[in-house]
Amino acid sequence: MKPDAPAAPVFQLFACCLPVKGARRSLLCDVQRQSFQFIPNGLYEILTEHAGKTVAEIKAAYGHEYDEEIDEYFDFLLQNEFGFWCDDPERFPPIDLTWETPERITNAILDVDARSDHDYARILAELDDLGCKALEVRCFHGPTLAELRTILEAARYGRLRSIDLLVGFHPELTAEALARLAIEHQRISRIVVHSAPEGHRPPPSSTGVIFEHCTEAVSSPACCGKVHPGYFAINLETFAEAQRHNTCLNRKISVDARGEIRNCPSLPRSFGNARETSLHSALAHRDFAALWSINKDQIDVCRDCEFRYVCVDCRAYIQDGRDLYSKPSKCAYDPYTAEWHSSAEQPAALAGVQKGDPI
Amino acid sequence: MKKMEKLSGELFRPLTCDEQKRVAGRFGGGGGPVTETAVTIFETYDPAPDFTHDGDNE
Repeated sequence: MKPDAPAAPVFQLFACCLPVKGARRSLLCDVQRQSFQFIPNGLYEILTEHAGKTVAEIKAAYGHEYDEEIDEYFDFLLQNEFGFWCDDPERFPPIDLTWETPERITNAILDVDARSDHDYARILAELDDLGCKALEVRCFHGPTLAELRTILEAARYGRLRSIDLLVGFHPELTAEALARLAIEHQRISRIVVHSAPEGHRPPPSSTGVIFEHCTEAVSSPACCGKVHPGYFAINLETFAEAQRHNTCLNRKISVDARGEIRNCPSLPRSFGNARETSLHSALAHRDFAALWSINKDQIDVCRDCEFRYVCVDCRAYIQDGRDLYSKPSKCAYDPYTAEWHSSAEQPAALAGVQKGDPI
Repeated sequence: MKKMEKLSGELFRPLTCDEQKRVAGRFGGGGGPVTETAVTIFETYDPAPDFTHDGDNE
C-alpha cells in the first residue's frame, strides 16, 4: 500500500541511482546497472527538493494539483527499482562522488598509420611507469597480424588492464585470426575493424572480448569526437570523475601517428616527440594538465544537458575554436528541446590554439 | 509547459537499441539498458548461467 498518512515512510532512492537535471528533462542514472531513464523535471524536483518528505507532504506542497502524476512517479520509481520506502532515510547516506586515483595516467591513445615508426617497447614501458590502465590503439591503415603482434608483445608483461584495438581492414584480420589474437593477448577487451567490406558484429565471445567489423572508415584522428548515446559511459567512475574533471582528457596521454605527445591526437599542441621526449617529461609540463579540469558543468550548453555526467565529451572539436568551454561540435543533441538533430555542425578544431601556444 | 509531466510522454521514452547502435550488448530482453563494458557483457550474456561451476562450488 502506498503510504499517504503523515507518519508514513518516505521514498529513498538507492544510492547508486542518481538524478541529473537537464533544461527540458532529467535523467535518472543507475550507475550500478549501467542504465538510465528519462524523467520529467518535476520528478527531479520531488527527488531533490522534496527528498525526505512523505507522499502526503509532497502532494500538499503542490497544492494537490498533481496528485495523480505524483502517484504515477512513485509507481514508476518502484517498478524500475530506483528506490524503496523507508522510515529512516538518514541510515542511507548518499554515495560519495569524490573521484581519486593513484595513477598519474589512467588511459592512453596510440595512433598508428602506415608511416608510423613508434618505439612500442619504450612507449608501453613509459605508460606502465605512469600507471596507465587502459590503452586504445588506433591503426588508420590495415595492419597485418604481425604488425599487431609487435604492438601487443610490447604490452605483454606490462600493467595495462585493457587494450582496445581499432584497426583498418586487412585480409589477414579474419574473425578466427582476431579471436586467436584475443586469446594470445588477454588484455584485449575489444577489436573493431574499420573500413571492412561489410559490417558484422557477432555476440560477445565467451572471453568477453567484443569483435566488430564496420564499413565506416577511420582514416585519421578527425574521425573521433562524436557525442552519441552509444558512447555514453554510465558507471560510477565516470559519473564521479565528471563532477570535477573532463571525462575525455583527464589523466589521458596520447601519442599520435608521427610520435607527437599530446593530450589527444586531435588537439594541435604537442609536448614533444616520443622519440626524444619521455611521456614523463611531457606530463611534467606545466600546461599538460590544463584541460583535465574542464568539467561539463563549465561547458556552454553541456551544463544544461541531462547527459553531462555520462557523456565522454570532446575538447578537440568544439563549436568555437577560441572558446575552450564551448559545446562539442560533433554533438547533435539540443538539451533545450531534448532532440537529437540528424547531423551536428561541421567540426571546428581548436583554431585559437596553435603549436607552442599556452592553452 | 505543465510542471508535472506524464511519464508516458514521448520525451521520456527509453532509447531504443537502434538509437544506441554503438553498444555491443545488453541486459535482459527488449529495449533494456545497455552497456559496452566487456566484463559486464560476459557476466550477463548468458541468461541462465551455470552457478554450480562458479567460485567456491567449482
